[in-house]
Amino acid sequence: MSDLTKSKIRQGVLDVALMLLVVVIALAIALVFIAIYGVSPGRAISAFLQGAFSGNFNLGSTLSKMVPLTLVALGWIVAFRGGRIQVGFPGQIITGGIFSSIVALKISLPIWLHLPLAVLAGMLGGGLCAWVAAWLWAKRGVNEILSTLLINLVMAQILDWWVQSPFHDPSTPLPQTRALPTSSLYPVLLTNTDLHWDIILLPVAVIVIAFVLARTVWGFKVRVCGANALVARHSGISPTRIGTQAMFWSGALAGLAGASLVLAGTTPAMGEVFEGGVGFNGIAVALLARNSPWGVIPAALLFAALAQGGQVMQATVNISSELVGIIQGLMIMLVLAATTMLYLTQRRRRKGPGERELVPPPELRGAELGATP
Amino acid sequence: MVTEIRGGSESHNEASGVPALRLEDITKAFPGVRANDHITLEVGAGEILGLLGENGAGKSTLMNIVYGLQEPDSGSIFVRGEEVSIKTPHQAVAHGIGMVHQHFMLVPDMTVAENVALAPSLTPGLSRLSEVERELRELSKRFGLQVDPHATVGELPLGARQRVEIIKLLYRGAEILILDEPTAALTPEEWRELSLFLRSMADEGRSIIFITHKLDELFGLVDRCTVLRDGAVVGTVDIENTSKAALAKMMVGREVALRTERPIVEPGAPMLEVRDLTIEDGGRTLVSNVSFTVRAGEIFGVAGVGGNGQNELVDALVGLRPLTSGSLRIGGQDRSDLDPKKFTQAGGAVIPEDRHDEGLALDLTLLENLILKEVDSPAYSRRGLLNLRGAGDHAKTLLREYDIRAPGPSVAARTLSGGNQQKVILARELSRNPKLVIAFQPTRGLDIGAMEFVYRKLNEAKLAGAAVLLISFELDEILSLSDRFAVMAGGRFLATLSAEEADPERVGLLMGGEEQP
Amino acid sequence: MISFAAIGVGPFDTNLLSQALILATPILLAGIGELISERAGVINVGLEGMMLSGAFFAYLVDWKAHSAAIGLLGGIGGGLIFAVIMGLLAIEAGADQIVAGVAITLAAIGLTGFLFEQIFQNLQQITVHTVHSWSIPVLTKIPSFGPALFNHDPLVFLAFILVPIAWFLLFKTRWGLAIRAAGELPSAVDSAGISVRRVRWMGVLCAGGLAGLAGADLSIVQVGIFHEGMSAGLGYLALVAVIFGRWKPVGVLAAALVLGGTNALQLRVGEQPYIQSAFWGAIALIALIWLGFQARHRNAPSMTLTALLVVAGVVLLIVQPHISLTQPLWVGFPYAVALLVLAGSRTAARMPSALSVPYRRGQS
Repeated sequence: MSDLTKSKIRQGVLDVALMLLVVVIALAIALVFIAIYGVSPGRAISAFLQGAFSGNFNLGSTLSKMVPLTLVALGWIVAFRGGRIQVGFPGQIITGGIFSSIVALKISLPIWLHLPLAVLAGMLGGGLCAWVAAWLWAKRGVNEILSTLLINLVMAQILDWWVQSPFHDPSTPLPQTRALPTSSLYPVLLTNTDLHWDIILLPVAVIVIAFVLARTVWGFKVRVCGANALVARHSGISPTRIGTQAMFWSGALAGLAGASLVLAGTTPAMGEVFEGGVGFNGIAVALLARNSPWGVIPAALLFAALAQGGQVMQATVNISSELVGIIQGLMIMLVLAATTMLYLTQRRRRKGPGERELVPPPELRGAELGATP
Repeated sequence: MVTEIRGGSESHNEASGVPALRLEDITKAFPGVRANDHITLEVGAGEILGLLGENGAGKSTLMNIVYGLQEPDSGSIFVRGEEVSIKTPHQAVAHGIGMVHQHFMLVPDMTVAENVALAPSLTPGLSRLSEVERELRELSKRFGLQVDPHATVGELPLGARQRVEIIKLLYRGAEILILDEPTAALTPEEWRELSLFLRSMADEGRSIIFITHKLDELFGLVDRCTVLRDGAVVGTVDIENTSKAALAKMMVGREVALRTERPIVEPGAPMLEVRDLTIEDGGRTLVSNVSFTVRAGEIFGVAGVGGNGQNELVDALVGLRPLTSGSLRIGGQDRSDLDPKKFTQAGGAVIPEDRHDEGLALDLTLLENLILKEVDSPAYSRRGLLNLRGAGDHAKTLLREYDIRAPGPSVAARTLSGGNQQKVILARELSRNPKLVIAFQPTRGLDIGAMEFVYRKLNEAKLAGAAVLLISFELDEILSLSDRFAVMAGGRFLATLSAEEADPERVGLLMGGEEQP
Repeated sequence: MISFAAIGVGPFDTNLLSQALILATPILLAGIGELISERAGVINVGLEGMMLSGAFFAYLVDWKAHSAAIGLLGGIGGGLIFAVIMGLLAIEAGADQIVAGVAITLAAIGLTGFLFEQIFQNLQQITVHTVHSWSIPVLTKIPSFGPALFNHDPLVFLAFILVPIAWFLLFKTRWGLAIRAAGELPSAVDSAGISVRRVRWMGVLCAGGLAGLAGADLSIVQVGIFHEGMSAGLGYLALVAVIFGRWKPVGVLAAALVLGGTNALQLRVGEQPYIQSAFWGAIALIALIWLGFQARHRNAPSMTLTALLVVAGVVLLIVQPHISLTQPLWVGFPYAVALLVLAGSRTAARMPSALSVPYRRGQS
């Protein structure tokens, strides 16, 4: 048994080292881009670090950016563990935000009721948005990757319309909603910062998701479906039902993120671009965390720091914050390459000749495109 | 005793002396395993060489090296006396080496001609299918292999696909043919045709390496036989001077009982009653009007060649596929609207055909795999939460009882060997004291030791009063375990025989679809 | 821009036809490339990013070189950069193709945005040289639809000529045999002595190059400018076109026309103060054609849905309600149609069996 524990620890250390390597390489490439544009890397790094961590305001912004990233990453993990690759987080965040804005603006209640109701509405919205894709997959055999991508595009337009027509604030030409009442907003945790009370969602959500996946029967069934859908069917577990549920909850987490973006934003209104790329970056966070709920915390911190530091860097040393997008894309690519290589070397070390030739291992297979189980 | 003739040339049909293919000192190590350990063997022109060994003995690795799919750590390959380097299948083809893989390398959606035309070419030119078709017709006339170049491969029976594989090699000009366990999907009749054909190929001067782990197939076909065990050559024998028992001993390293004892029990109440079961899918009838009864305390076998409706029958019996018509009773209760959950609740256990695809979730731990089907029971979960302690104790007991070699219950199922993985499935299914056991190809890909274990456990289940339905493509397995058995061909049961009245000749003809031999 | 006479009923005139062809072009170009890639077993969700990269680099090169023709090459190059990354990840490393595609799209959005801001931030919006239209001599003279069909920029013609070319390559050449086999059973390709990696690389590069060209079509052919995120989901529509086209060149053509037509219709109807009756008529008609198509495949449940759509279209045609939708909702319309199209067609069975499965030579 101690051998087993040791090898698991060694495995964990290796994983962490590999991810650190990925981060270092991605940042190094980013520095090359910075150097090309004539900014000294030293200046850029110090501007970045100050922007991300220095002072209450910057630190508060970084922490506050972690919350939606963490929630979306957990959403990806729930669906992915159930064998579903849904990439509809942007659309689900938007739907969540819209649902929250309805409750916030159309109902007036005391805060202890109003805020929770607005947050729950956001979860429901995100869940429903994911459920549409889940239904199309389960009943019509539509590949959930494509359907969620298309739903993202549709939802982006619906949001456009939403903040221009029915919920538009007539006092401003900007595409945004009227100011949301304070009773529906997360209270500020640290004055003069963007840090709101929704930060408590961060540890709570991580613990809940980690516990659900590891210790509950439902989580177990989700993992069985993700590991082998046919075995699940043999065991009386329906991969379509569990997959649909996993997608719903995945979307609900994204909706929760959307509620945070709207109800704990810099301004108390929902604008046209409130999603701000969180949907896809959350996927990157989950991948960097290697789909472990606990790993999401450091990975989200890194991404939040990148986003916050990048903004400050743009303002101070005039480097476009779009650079952050390059870094994020690069990190996913490197994580993919690194984990695949790691997997292969381990497999070779452990097993030697495989039993069946020419059949790739299931975890390297993509999603079963379009196929209804 | 075995006469060992290493590299002997006495039995070569041609006396020229230069072997068509010679492997010298081939070594290939995977971390932890030495798959090929200084292997030397040769095959002459016009000779058929048998390559015998258990699963995992290194046969396939060796042949993959010859075919350029893997590189050896050391050793040399000589083709017609010249040393060659084979790093890709392309080079192997260029040296006139062709291989029929265990799994057919044919694209089901393409026609026979298209499959044959799939070949490396320097010019990105037209596929010129009509020329390929013409040549194919000539080849099939010349060798008496019936193949329709226009047919879509996916619609051909397995025997015909095998002919396509072989004719593909001939089209590519192969002089040295390697056949990796080619008989798994053949009826006895198709096998007879294949062996005649191979002989005529050899008589034309081609060399053939015939890989198998079935002793029967060697006699009457090969000239010599090289036996591998644990990656090394045990010996090469002239087939005329040896016996089945001697080869078996070389292969396994000890005396083996080739037949297991069949315990006789008085059968009890009917546990599985199937009446007029029919399964249709997309307009095709896959199983038609099958009726049988399996009683407590008996093993009922279903013999037949793969792809004759067995998969669909098993899927229907465990509730994965709806019946088109007919009825199904388990333990005396009507279960025509079965689903896997009801099957398990009715006391059903299943050992599926493919342990990787259907039996185990390879990335989950042994513990998780062992409680898969009972996770909702109060022993392993309470109010939606897993009871990890209860499950852990259960898993540890099973690891001990079923002799599963693993560091502990928390390792991933993927890390186990094939035999141990099968034991995990047996442990999960049989430890529930099932009333009905459906075992589909339960020894597929296992070595003899693990096979004996499976047989013992199935017999134990029978003695404990379970009804056992054994579906197998290996006739030997059916004959040595079943009390009664049916022969399945074309989706129908052609005859039901008792163990006493089974005559391999007659069963063989039935498997080929001959109804009244 | 379009100077010839428009003939037709309400919004349905020859201008619409011409516009539909123009809007179908990028979908068709990228779709044909993706078709080849998927036939070879690699699904390319990064198509969107490759298109965006093509649009930007075409614009950049056009601006620097003062030539739209060289700009087109720049666009192809822009697509190929990310195709190479896709190949390294999906073919060499054997990584999950879908996640790799998402990463590529993210990186392309980042890279084009970054470079655009860094290079052009202090400059006014620059319009670069665009590609001139060609008119096919005699055919343009055909009354009514002649100009709408035969007076276009060369990429429109190229896209449509690519359809028979792709068909010929895939189904009549050895190259096509290898591509198709690599998507169905790569081990058969390997065993035949053909390198699966090489075959799949060709597929991925085809997809990247053509997606880049499609991007160039957006930036330097259609408008002459670039703006961030200008591919706006067209790459995803190309993916839909491949699925809806059942992995066949002619099918991709039909799907691209439907999606391009929807887009043209959306632009046109969005301009009107309220939805005109002809629109409802068109919906009823399209649904009716679709119904006939489904009847051939005996797809009962979706036939009911389509039949309801026909009835709804006819009812609305008769009632003529004054409904108006705002611009954003019309922009979302083609994507919603694509979603319906996916839901209404069961095509999973036609999918290449080894699509998205990395190939690794067995060790046994």
